[in-house]
Amino acid sequence: MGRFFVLAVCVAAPAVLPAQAVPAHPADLQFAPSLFEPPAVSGMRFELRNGLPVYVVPDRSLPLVDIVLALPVGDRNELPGEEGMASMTAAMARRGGAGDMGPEELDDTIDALGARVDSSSSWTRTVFVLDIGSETLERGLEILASIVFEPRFDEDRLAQARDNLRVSLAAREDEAYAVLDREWQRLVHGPASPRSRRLTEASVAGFERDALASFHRRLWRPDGAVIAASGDVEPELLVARLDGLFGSWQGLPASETDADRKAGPPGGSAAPEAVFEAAAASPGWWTVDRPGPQASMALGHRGAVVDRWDAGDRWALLLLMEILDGPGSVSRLRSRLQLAEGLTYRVVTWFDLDVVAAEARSERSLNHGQGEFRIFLETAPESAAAAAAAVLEELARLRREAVPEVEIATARRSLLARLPLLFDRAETIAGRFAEDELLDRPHEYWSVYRGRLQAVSAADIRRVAQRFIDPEGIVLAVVGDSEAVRAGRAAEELRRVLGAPRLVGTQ
Amino acid sequence: MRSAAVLAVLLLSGTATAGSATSEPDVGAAHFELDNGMTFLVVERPGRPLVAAVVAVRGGSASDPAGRRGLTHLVEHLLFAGSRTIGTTDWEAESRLLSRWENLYERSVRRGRTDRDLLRLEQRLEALQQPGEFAGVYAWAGVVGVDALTRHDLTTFHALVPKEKIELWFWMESDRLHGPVFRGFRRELQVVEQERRQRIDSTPTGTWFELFDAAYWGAGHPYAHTPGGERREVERLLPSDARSHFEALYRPDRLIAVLVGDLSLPEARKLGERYFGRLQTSEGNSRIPESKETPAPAVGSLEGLCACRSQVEIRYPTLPFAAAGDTVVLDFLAGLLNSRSGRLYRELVAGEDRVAYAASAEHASRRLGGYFAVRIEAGGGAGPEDLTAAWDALLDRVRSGGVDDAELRRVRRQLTTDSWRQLEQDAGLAGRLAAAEALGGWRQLTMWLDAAVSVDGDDLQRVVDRYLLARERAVLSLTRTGG
Repeated sequence: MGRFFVLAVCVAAPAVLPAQAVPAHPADLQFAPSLFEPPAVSGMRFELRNGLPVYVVPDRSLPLVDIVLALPVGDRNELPGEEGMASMTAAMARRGGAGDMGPEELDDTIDALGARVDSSSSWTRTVFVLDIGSETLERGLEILASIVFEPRFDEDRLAQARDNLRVSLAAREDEAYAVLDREWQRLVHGPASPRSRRLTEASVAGFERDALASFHRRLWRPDGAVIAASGDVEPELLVARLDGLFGSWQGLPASETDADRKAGPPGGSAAPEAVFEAAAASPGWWTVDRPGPQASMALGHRGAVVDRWDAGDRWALLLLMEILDGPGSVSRLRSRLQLAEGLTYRVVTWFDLDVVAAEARSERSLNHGQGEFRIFLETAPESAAAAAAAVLEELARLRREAVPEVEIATARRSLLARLPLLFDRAETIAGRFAEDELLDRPHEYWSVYRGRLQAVSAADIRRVAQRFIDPEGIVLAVVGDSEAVRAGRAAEELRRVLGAPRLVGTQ
Repeated sequence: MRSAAVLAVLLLSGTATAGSATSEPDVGAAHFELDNGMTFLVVERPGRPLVAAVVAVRGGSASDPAGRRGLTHLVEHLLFAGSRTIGTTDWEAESRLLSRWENLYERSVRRGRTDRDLLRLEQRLEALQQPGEFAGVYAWAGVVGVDALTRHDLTTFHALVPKEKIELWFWMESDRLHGPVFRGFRRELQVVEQERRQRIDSTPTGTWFELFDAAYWGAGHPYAHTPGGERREVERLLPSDARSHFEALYRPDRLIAVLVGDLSLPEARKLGERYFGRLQTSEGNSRIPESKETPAPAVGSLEGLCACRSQVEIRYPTLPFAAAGDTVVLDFLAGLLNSRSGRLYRELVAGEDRVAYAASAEHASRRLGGYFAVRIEAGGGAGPEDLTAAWDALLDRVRSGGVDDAELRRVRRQLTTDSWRQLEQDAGLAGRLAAAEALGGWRQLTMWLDAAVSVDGDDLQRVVDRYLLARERAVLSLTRTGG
């Protein structure tokens, strides 16, 4: 007790140092407490006549403006047979001309302004970005509106895009990672899942002007959409201009859209959500034979679901993932695989935790989200089994043992240290609050962030490890020289845990 | 209430400027030098929660000694292993074992087999070493984005530091440069090998571009090898190689520190002097040989089969980096060819006779030389010869038809707005300032833009006629396997 007291005094009050002396150890340095608090949203949120929310964060230091429009439409809204339609519609809206401008004129106009205008689609969103000098903002906004409302889907540009996609189809096995991703999705989500769908020759052939126009008409609607604006703007003036361009946007009535969806494209009948629920995973150890000096692997299972953003288990899981493989900390996987054993150059982990209100959830999806828990790494084929066994052991340890307090504290500090990065510029602040709206995440999430993480205990972390990490459901997919992988160090140990390796395609 | 919130955001963003935006944004870097020759650049951005901090050394893989290609990159990795204070539980005991380990290790490399005594000694060392402590101290303090990069002429160490803890960055970075301990040497060789496999061996074109670099620059040229080096040479590197290379390369007068964020110049100077002021150059240290002349590239071509899209890269020898003259005109030419309204997209990707899936141009100018490169990936059934022919035809049209005013205005406008965009992110700006300083002074960032917006059609014709000559180019031609 006495010794501890002396140590504590030393840390709190180091010997007075001469002005130019360098302290012997970083622990001798004293710092003011971190003052960072996420900015308050008040005053940044506006609404257009049709209810479309707009977040504006001015920053006059550079003569630039960023406008982002996000719609809650993505690959997940595609019906079977429509693979790639969301991305194609988004890409061609920008590339295929808009309003009274053909594709070349549109490109010329945007480039002559020194602007960047992009549109793209992911699993859940379609996003339009306008990045432009403030003196030409007015013209940029008109172009953006024209792309959203009046895309021309020029036939020649569409033919060019289809040709390019066919070239991509032929080349998509070139990268081991692409093969791993495809097989991983099939194994984790099941072959019938929308997550497992891949572009085919038939779906490329279906990218006709009418099909894109129909997808655009049916699914690009203002409900659920949001705009984030930042940079050299006067908020009231900008919002008035946005209201003029986007305020009367209504989109098709929901009933008409639903009728369209039920009719569906040829070959498809079920709604995407229903197909998703039919998915089934294939746990175990799977290999894809691909000779080469490196093996790529993914290990994990489907993500999970909680019923609200502020769920206690959600905060504990954030810390758990930071302890396992936080990018800014001395994580368990990095310590073990890189620092201790030199097995890999990098490990990448993510755990999707969907937030779905309890009343909106079906019985079957109670614990499985549409996302995934995936640990990805690359290593020499002969080390692949050892690396996978090490990862499994670390997952088991998290379920078995309480994480030491000091490790939790490091993870917590590391997570909190990244908080300023999420609000470091006008563009990220506007984007963050707009994303809240898109994800149905309350803005208060950010003001309770620090306190909630502080409240997580070792017992909470162990509880969520046991709840969310499922040893029985683990899928391990390895793309590499199968013979070397199977004969590698620790392969026997891995067999005992996951069973014998099976070649993909033999399930 | 609302105006208060907006003001808070303005302060957070470091943008509480009155009136309208400036029409010519400036980097606004302040510069000072320590007595030992180390350079500091500081961009004050009040209100930013994090300081973007970079330590750069003027030297990269082009400084690798002959027969030790990959040494600069390995030293960059080893600098994360700590010092006499960080990374050890008992430096005195560890240092005694480390010297014995090094002797045994050198003997095992000479003999080509691992000594059992070496492994036993490693186990004893592991009990004294804390290989993750360097990263751990930073993580505990909330320092993020900790990373390093070895390029041909520059090695950089990056971090984003909470502004209240900036002194820790000065402590940690100066400590590892003052007395680094290259512990965990054998393990780091493995990690470097993994990095090489990931970046080069496992990508369809990685090995081909490595071979093309060797053919283009020619044997012995400092740029002929990639920063990762040669596997056979890396395997045989020794701790003593790393130490002597570190001492030669990381001299204080070769070091640059860049800080962008909420840190005042006087504070940066005070901390700089206190911490980095202790770095000294020992008289006995070897020096990195500085070439007096720019070695000419060999301009060798290469062709082969590849599990990738058929493609070509056409390289024309040009000039070393400069923020003036033909170097800037060649940069401008790349801008003219790129983007959706540029010649490459319009004529090769989207035109009626399209042959390409994608095409881009780049003027890569480094300290000892540069090249103008055009990369074209095939669309449909085009082969490398079709792509080269299409490029030649395009270039002929530029030669004979010239460039119209609208194209010039478009590129000037794009270069100007791009240069503003580069000022937006603190971490990116810190990295660019370090690179510009190493190539002759950070003001080149501004000088380059001034020169670029004055480029005209005659300048472009001149560089096309002078540098883009078919008889003086190298071509990498890759044909898709089985295609």
